[in-house]
Amino acid sequence: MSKIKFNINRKNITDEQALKHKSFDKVMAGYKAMNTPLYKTFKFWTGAGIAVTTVVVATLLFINKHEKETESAVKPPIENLDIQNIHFSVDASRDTVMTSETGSQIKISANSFVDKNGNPVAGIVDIEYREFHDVVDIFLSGIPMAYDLSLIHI
Amino acid sequence: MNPDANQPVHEQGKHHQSRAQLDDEVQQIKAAIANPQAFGVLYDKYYLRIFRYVFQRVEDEDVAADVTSVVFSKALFSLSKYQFRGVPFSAWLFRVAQNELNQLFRKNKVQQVVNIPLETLAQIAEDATEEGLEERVEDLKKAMKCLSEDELKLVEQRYFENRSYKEIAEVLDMEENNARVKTFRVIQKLKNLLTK
Repeated sequence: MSKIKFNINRKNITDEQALKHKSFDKVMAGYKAMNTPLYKTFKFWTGAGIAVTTVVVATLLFINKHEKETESAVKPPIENLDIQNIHFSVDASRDTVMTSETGSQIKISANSFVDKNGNPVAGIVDIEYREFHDVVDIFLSGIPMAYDLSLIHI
Repeated sequence: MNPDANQPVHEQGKHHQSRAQLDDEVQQIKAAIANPQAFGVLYDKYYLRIFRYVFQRVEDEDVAADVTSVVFSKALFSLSKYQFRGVPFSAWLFRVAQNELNQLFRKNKVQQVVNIPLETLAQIAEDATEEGLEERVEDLKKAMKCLSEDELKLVEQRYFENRSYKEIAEVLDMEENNARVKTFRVIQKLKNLLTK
């Protein structure tokens, strides 16, 4: 109630003054605006534009976040001292035993390889691997040794 | 106590319409529903009354003109929902106007104004003398600030706009007797506040 203004004996408006504002065209214009379908209004398209932009930005942010989440956690601390890969090729249809310089042995049975659809792979298969023998190797490789305890299910 | 005691002389029946006139009006409403341009007849008939109703409650003439225009546009837009209840179409228009004003006041888009004719103060504050009226104006303003929105509407319509109880009842959508009793109580409340 405090916002109300009280006027005492305000001068009355004459009919002539009041009739100056009379406009049925203005009433009809207001009526037509109320009758305009929502999809034809500027307000609708502004709202729709904002909604679409919000969805696009949210999607891009989600993708960006997701990409960051799937980024490799292996980050070698010293680029030039990273443990290098060892390459060799095997015939997928034959039993193979590969012995490295350090004495490690890798045994691969015939027809062990399958593609992403589970079909057996035939022919030559290129293999890359790395050997980590001690704490220094692991440090240089940048493989994270920390893990999230909350992911351990008892 | 008689609620009508010391009541002002009102323009009883000034806007009274005969049954035939009301029936004509119903035909005009039907015509306007079928063809919005036909609403012009009702607009011409009620423009001044609605304009004055709005202007009584706002400060500025241009604001009153804009609000009046919106009231008629909204009335035309909702015309198909209108139901004839044996009272003039103006009662419905006043309600549309009051709702529009309430909305604008609530959103602080328009300054709410109460225009008080000084002579009505004598009817409210019986003890005030002719000479002392102006001195009581501030008291009346303070007392009116203690009224609720609904109470203020009753005083406005009955005392400042000289409406009959029948009209007040139609505009505020209540029983005539209810309007009479409620107004009486509000005036008693005002008188008590003024004599404190």
